[in-house]
Amino acid sequence: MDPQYARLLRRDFLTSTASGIGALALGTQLQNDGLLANDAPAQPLLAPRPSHFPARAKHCIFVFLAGAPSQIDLLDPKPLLVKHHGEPLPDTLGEGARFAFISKKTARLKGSPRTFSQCGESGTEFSDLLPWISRSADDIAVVRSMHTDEFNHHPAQLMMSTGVGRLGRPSVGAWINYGLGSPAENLPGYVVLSAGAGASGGSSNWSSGFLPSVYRGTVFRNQGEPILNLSRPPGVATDDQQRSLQAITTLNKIRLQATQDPEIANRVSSYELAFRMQTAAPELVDLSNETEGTLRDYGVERQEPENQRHRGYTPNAHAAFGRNCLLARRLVERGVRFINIIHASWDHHDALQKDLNYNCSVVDQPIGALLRDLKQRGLLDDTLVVVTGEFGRTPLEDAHEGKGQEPGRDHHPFAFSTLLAGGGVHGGQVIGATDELGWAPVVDPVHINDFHATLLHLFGLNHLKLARRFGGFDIRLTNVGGRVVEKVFTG
Amino acid sequence: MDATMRKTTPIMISALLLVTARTTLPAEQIEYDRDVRPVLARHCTKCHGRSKAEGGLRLTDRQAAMLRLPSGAHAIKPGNADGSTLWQRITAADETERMPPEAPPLAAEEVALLRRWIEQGAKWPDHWSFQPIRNESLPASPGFQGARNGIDHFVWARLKTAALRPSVEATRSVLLRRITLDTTGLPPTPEELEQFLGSLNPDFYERTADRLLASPHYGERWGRHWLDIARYADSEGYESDRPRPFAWRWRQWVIDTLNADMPFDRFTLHQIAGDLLPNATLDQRIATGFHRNTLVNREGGTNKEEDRVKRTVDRTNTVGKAWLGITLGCCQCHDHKYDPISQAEYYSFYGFFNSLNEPNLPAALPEQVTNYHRQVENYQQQRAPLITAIAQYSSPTLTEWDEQLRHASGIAQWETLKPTSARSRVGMVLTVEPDRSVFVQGANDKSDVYSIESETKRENITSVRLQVLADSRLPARGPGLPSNGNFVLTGLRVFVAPAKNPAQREEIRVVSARADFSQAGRNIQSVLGNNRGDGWAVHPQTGRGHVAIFDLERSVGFPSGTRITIQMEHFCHKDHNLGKFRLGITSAPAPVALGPPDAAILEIIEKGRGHRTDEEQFRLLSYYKYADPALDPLFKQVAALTASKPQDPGEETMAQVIQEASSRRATHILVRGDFLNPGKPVSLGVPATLQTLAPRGTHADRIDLARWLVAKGNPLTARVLVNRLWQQFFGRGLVTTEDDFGTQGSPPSHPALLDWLATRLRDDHRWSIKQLQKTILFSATYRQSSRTNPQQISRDPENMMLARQARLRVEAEIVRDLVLASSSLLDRRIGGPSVRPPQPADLVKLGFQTSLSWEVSTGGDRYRRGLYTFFQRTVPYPALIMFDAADSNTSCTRRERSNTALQALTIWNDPVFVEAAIACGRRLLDEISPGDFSPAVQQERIRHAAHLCLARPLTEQELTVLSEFAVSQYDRYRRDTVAALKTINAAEISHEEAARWAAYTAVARILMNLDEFITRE
Repeated sequence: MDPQYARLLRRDFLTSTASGIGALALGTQLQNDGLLANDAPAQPLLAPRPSHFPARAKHCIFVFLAGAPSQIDLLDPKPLLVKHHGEPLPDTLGEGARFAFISKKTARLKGSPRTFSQCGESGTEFSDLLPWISRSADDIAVVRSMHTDEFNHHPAQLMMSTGVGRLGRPSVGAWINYGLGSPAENLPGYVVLSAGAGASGGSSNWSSGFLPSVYRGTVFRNQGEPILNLSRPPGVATDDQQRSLQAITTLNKIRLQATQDPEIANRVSSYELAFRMQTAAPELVDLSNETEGTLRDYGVERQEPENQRHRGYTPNAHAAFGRNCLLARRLVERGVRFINIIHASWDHHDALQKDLNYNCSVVDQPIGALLRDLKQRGLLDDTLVVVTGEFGRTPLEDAHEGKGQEPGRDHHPFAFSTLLAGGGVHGGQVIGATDELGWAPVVDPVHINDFHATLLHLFGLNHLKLARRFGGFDIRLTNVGGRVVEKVFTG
Repeated sequence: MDATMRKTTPIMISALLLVTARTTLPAEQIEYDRDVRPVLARHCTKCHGRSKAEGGLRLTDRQAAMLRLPSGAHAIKPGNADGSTLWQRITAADETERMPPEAPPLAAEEVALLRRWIEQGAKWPDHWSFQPIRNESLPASPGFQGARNGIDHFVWARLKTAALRPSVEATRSVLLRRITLDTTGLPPTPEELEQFLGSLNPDFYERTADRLLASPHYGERWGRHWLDIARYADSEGYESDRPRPFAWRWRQWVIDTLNADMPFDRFTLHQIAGDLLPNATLDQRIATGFHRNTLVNREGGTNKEEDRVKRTVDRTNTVGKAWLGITLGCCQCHDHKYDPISQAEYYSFYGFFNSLNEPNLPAALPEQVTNYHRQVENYQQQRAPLITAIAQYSSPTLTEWDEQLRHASGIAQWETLKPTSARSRVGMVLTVEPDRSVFVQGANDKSDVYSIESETKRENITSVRLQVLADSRLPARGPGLPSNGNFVLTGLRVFVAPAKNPAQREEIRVVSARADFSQAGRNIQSVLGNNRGDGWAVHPQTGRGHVAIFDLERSVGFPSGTRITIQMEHFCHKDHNLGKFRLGITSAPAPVALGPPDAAILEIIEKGRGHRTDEEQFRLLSYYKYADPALDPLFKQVAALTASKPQDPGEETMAQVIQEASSRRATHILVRGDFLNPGKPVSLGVPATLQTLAPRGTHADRIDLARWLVAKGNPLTARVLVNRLWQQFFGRGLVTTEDDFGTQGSPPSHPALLDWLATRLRDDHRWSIKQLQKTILFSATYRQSSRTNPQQISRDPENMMLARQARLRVEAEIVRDLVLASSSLLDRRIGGPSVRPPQPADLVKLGFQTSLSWEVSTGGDRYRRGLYTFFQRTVPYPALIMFDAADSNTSCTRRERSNTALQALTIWNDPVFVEAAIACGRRLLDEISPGDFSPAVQQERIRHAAHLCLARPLTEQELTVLSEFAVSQYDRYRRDTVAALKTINAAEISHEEAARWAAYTAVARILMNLDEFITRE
């Protein structure tokens, strides 16, 4: 380029400064106009907002074991079922029940071969498949009386994620960010971490539904850049990106002045946050400053057992799930409001013990490590940890497929178990109970709408007030139901 | 030129500051809708509404509210507040008496308002949107100078009452980009900009609008809006989320139809009832694909009837939202709480969609058909002489073979049974067709046994023949009913009785069986013994006919005639039932040879040589793969030709349509919306609040429904449509709740304008959407500047009064279109199947069990417009969903416009956008004085970049910022050639060239990342 031309261009009034705003006195001017407040949040829609009443929880790590783990073999011991193993389904239970694959006429009771033992001071019973999680028994509330309306995976996953078994509604994480904003300054308010095979619901599990897409879960990937399009293009250095940002900001502000449209100020903030994310997200996933011990506890470097062909198998499921649990803690430390950890699939229609063994070996150690680590760091007090599937599994044998394999269990919407810890949850208790065969709740049934009402309550949100008008209705996470289960936090 | 038009008007702004806004008129006369209804809704209707009537009081409409209560009193006595219980109770001093119970009392103003209303006679008109559309006349004076049409009269009259002023006209460049984006979703080209800016023609704007409305890209931009409403996607949704390879064919219809400006009444009729029209054309049937955009759940164990009911509910609600702008959804379980629609009325409406079949039709595009016909003609010309030569060939060998064939002991004489009754055990409909075959229809969700009765005079019956038949009406052409066309026949039982004494019936055992083909593991032998767990199936040879023969343990038949009943059992799966079949019997001695499975071949054989056509003779010879060796060379030639036989495009290009089932399903109220709990039956109809529907015949059908939707007396459809069109041009409808015109929706900001527009559309323009859009585009209101100021924002933050235009971030698809168009990468072909632009492989794997795949499109298909991107419901394309694309799960009548950091990252770093910036950088070097790097030319290039990306001239200040940036990037890339080459993804060009290209790429990238780039101002 002609040097004289270059000199000509570098006129004084436009010399760049380190601040990136440029030498135009534009910023000040805009502030004076009230268009660009000094403390304007990077993402206005994510600006932290007060809760309806004082909150117990500030963050949530929601571990979704998609496909539905067997509560009978993990959390809800049924000695009587073991005793009657192999006997036909009692008539009274079959009434009105639907199954995907079991035929009522041939259905047989199936007891669990697992051993359960009382753990911690509270003595909550856990299966031998959960040796690590059960060490935190005194911090955990096990809800054994969960039930749902939906019978098939995708609708049921939607029900668990969005409160209704249909597509199009915002997920829990979206609602909480919508209600409270997010204190994370350099990261999205809602992050999704996925390991194992994909869930039936795909991204509808972290949808923002009819809410603006800023509330949608951002997927942190297990390979490549942690967030889609986070990396600068090839050949573009940080300096280049910084200079781009300066030029973009300057030109946007010129336009802001010309049009006076405050939306441009939001766009400027979005670019600034994007730029900061480019540093913050790689820093987040860089585990080099974690100790050997921490990495070992979470099982971040666990090798995948060989020759495994289980439901839920992927070549790196063990390591990826461990890493996701550790990332969840790091995200909480950085202020992220809601973290979804997804693992699939737990849909054990056959090969039940073999596949449960595998899946538990993937998730038990990291979840156990996460609970202890959060506690040790004082983060468990305001971080709610949820571990759940979308429904339960039958106390009946499902022998419809997998010839030669051990029979599994069919879908069971009437009863399942969910783990809650931290974030104001009263630990060391069991909430609700199912009947002696594990068919349906007989004490304190908790519908998914109730579960969501309780979850929002822990965040200081009244589930009846957290609503948004869409299609002529005030839509809320708890749909047309919801009752806060006070036992969860009062014990 | 442009600068001279950008006059700001300081005088106007300061004038605004001096005036206090008054947005409501003093309420001399209380109006029910505006004043009273909100108070009642706030405090009363929860308990005294449609679903609850505490104390017998229902405040839903005037008639109900004025009734004498069970207590004997009147809640409302018009003209007499003191005598009205309502007023007494809300003002009661005693807390136990006072309404509402256990809640704070009404505010003093509210009490006063209700009193005044009752005193004034308690006027209670129907909800505004249920009243007929009024033919409004224009306000006498437009209020301000420069009105261009009626729209301005209405808008400005309203502005005047609010003491606001309209804005000046937008600059020419903003105007051109606005109107081009609004009509076509594409940016104007630099040439179009130059012409527009330079035009001295007084009607240059109107001419441009006409040109754009006639652009074939118009249908793409406005079609996308209709696709949102129709919840269009390229996959089925839910767990398996299977692709819908033919969904696009309906999209194509939408684009073509909007381009042709089909009047909206016909547009409605074809989509609602195209299949029912007399002699329905292919296009009319394709139109019904609107209703095929529902989700389908194919997860194992799903109850099919439940899913069908869900689809029917979705269709009902979508029609309610798309045409009537009312929320029907809640009436699925109970009467509407707010609007005058009962649950029974809901199911009456639902009934219109309750008897639909969902076939796929061959639906080749016209150009495909023309092409195909040409190819077929050519093919036939080459083939005919060969066939004739083969057919005419004669030799002693062949004559002898033919004789043998006709009298071969292996080919029995079959009698095709004519069923006198054909029944299903679970209520499927079995129809005997003219060729004596049986065709099966119905829900197909249970194991079934078919009983087919016939009578025959034949004696010594030895074997039964079952021909299972293909038919294009069946899924995958059958012969079975499940979606893959297969079936499992688990048993076949034969009963005979003397025709005169049917009671004397006995079963004759089947002892052996043969079939022309059996699926591996599903052998024909397994039918013997009628074991429920196993049977005969034909996968993968579905979609064609097969034959099986069953030999009886002894020969049977009575001299006076025999009644023969054949029971066909399907017990293996819930849905693997046969869809079409034919039965026959023979007296030939067992074991009877299979013979040709194809009945047509049998017929040809039986005709005898002299009676066959050339084609028949050829078919026969080919069928048996037999010929005189002398014929071999001719057969080889035919085979070679057949290999290049043109493919019927109808096989590849299908359309998803609906069609009325032959027997109409009775419709019942579903108690609490539960498909297992039908209540009382209802007949088809529409909500009584709206104008009545007069059926053409004894029963209403979808044609009646479609005509009712667009009938002159329908108060909703025209209003709802013009409101949505308005919304697309201003960012917000005159009724802001564009999907709820019911009593809970917001009232129109300009009621008279809404009705004026609705009347123009329906009567003056005879439902021409383009004509109505032209009216809007030509108005001064549309042409205003979108510039605002803090005062205006504080006075009328939502811009309800339309004192300016709006700056609107473009829709997700158009973000992509803009980037590709500015860089000239865009492939502007219109229509065709959906495409898969690049995205990281791991994202698609987030779908169920990593079962979804995304094969990236190649060539021009990588660069198609955003609306052609394959929409996979469970894992939508990230760049679309990031910018608030419709999620396609429910009808979407308005897009969100969020503004996020992830959007910034997308435009900044997404490989598609980066590639576009590189291409744009190249364009700048190539299109402006190539090789010349003088300062003036450099500046010219940057101006050109702005023309490409923003379609406007740069200000000096902006030009300086960009030039400065270009200089710094050029310097930096000249020092670092490796980085330069990476930036432009190139090799083997000079260092100098690389640095310049990289610098202009950086400039293009800046422009594409500006707020203005993705905003229509």
